[in-house]
Amino acid sequence: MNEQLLQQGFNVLSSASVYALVAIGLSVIFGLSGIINIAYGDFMTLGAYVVFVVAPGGAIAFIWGFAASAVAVAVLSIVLERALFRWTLIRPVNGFLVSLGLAQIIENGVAWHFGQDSVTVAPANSANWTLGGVIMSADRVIIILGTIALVVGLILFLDRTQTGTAIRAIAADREAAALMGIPVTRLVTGVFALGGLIAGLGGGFVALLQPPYPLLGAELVLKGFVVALVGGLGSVRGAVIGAVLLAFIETVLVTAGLAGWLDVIEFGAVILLLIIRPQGLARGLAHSM
Amino acid sequence: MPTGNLRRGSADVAPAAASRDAGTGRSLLTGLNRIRRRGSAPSGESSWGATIAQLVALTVIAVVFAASGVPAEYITLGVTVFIYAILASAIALLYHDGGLLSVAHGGLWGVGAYAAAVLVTKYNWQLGPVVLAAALAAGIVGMSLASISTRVAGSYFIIILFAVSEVIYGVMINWNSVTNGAEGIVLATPASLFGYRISTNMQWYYVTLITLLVVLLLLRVIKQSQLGQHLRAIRDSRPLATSVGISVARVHMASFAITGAMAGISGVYWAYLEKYVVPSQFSATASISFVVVVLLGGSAYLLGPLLGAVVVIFLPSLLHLSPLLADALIGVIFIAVILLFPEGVVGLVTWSLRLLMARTGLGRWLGPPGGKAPADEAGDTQQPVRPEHESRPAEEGLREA
Repeated sequence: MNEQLLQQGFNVLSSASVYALVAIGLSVIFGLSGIINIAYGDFMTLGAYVVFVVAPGGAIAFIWGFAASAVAVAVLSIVLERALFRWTLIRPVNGFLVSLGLAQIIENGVAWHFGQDSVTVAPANSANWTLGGVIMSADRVIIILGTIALVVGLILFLDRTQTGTAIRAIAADREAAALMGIPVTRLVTGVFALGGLIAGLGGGFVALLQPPYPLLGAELVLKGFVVALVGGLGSVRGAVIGAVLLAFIETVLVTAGLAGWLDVIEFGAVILLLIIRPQGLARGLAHSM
Repeated sequence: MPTGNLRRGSADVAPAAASRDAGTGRSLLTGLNRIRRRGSAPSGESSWGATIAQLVALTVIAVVFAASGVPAEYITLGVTVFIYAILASAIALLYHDGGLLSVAHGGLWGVGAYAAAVLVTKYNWQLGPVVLAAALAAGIVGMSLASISTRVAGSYFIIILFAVSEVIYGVMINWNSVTNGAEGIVLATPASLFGYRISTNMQWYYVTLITLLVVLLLLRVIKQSQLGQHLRAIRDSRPLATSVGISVARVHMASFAITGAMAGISGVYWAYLEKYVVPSQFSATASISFVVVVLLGGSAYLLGPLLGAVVVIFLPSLLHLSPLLADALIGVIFIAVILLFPEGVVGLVTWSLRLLMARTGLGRWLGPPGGKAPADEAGDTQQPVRPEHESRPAEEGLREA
């Protein structure tokens, strides 16, 4: 019984990792620019496909796959921010609309180039470790540890460094931050790059969990938003808490045999929560990062 | 600020304010109304003459198109355009006049389609009652969206409506006894209306065209009505609208119910046209493509959403592109339109036409909503031309430094 519980806990953590990465990326970008970037999930899809192109055979080549996807998606994010999102910062709704167009381009482009079916990526490490009766596939351990490292690094960066403080200042009040001499536009670009980096790594992790297909990210992104919303859009810690909560609820529901109604219950609960408590569970980037 | 665009409790304030200040509020609004009517049309509308001219032009073009012997598949595409335009025009009212970008209307569309499929296949209903029932069902589901729009605004509203569309999709796919789950329902029975059988696509072409004309006329009436005035007042400033006695809850409920009903009717036609309903047609992706249709054409113009639908539906088959590439191309065009011509394709067309016809007086027929009145009406009480939503309070605080 105890072992079963631990096993469930392990599974919860590995799916929470992916949700957390999506939600954090969305959250940080929203906190700084006010843009709901619905194409963010598709950035992850691109990351997963970069891994597929660079390291289809898995094993040690995965390190190169991760590096390539992180760099590629980060660079893409910078380009898109400079070329498109920059012009929508005054009216973030337009940023959302632009991201709708981007999502359409990426999803259809990927489907056209790689085909609509999923592609296979061999595992990075096919070993299964058993620890205290809990079976842990090496890939999931990589995902969990990688996510924890990323989250801790991100929180330290935002809390402790001067750049992180500047980013939080922009999230709190863009104009005041600019008056204090903070290079606002450059940091917004920087945060888009950071978001791209997270999406690239997250895409790599997802490729380890399941075979990539063109709509992979599109299906993740709505859950990512829900997680971010529950955690309070803009808050990194909130996103992590929300992700663990979501993964936990999913595991419970699946165990209870309600797998089909999963989305209805989750999204329905979030709607109710937001009707009762519109500000979410945590507060935004500026307050509680 | 991330939390800056939260609004709560305005619904609770409204009734009290209404009873106290109803008199003042109404007289203030009608006063404004009178001023605007005397000058140019109120924001969001062109004159009635222009509306009638546009609808007549639409009818003539549509009839000539159908009678000109184009291939049968173009007629089918035409029906699809009208079906899309009915729904997109409803979404445009919410977006342009209400400042509410609904990504749940694809789900309401599905509610209508499923209502039709179930009522026809299980109970053998006729088209008339089916349309009424579907409008009612989708209208009621739509009305419940007001419980969200009165509490959260801006980005939060968009995200929660995505959640709503996922819930609707999930119910469709899981409620097997009614919806037949992921397998969907085949709807092969021809419709009958007042004893006439409607089975060919040419018949559907005219049925949907007439419905579209009625819907456009209705939307035009709503824009000018008190409901439309209140909707715009709420869009521009919720606290101000509440303070003059407008009930945000009531106005939003009415708007969502009406546009939801239109979505439901559109869904009925879709079910008949496709002869098959399945949940994946009504997912969040569907809602997104309707948003694209609305903004591609231009939400401020009566015929904007229709034009957006024409582009989205006809472009792939005219260019002989694979559907995937065509969708990607529409994404590219969409981004270009959003960034370069925020008023949509119709905005671009009218702008260039007005440039051409500035001196001929023809420009008045194409006058943009709330925009500069033609030269002969100019002068007395024009509203300044202001891009839509530029000054919406929900978004202030997010200005570029």
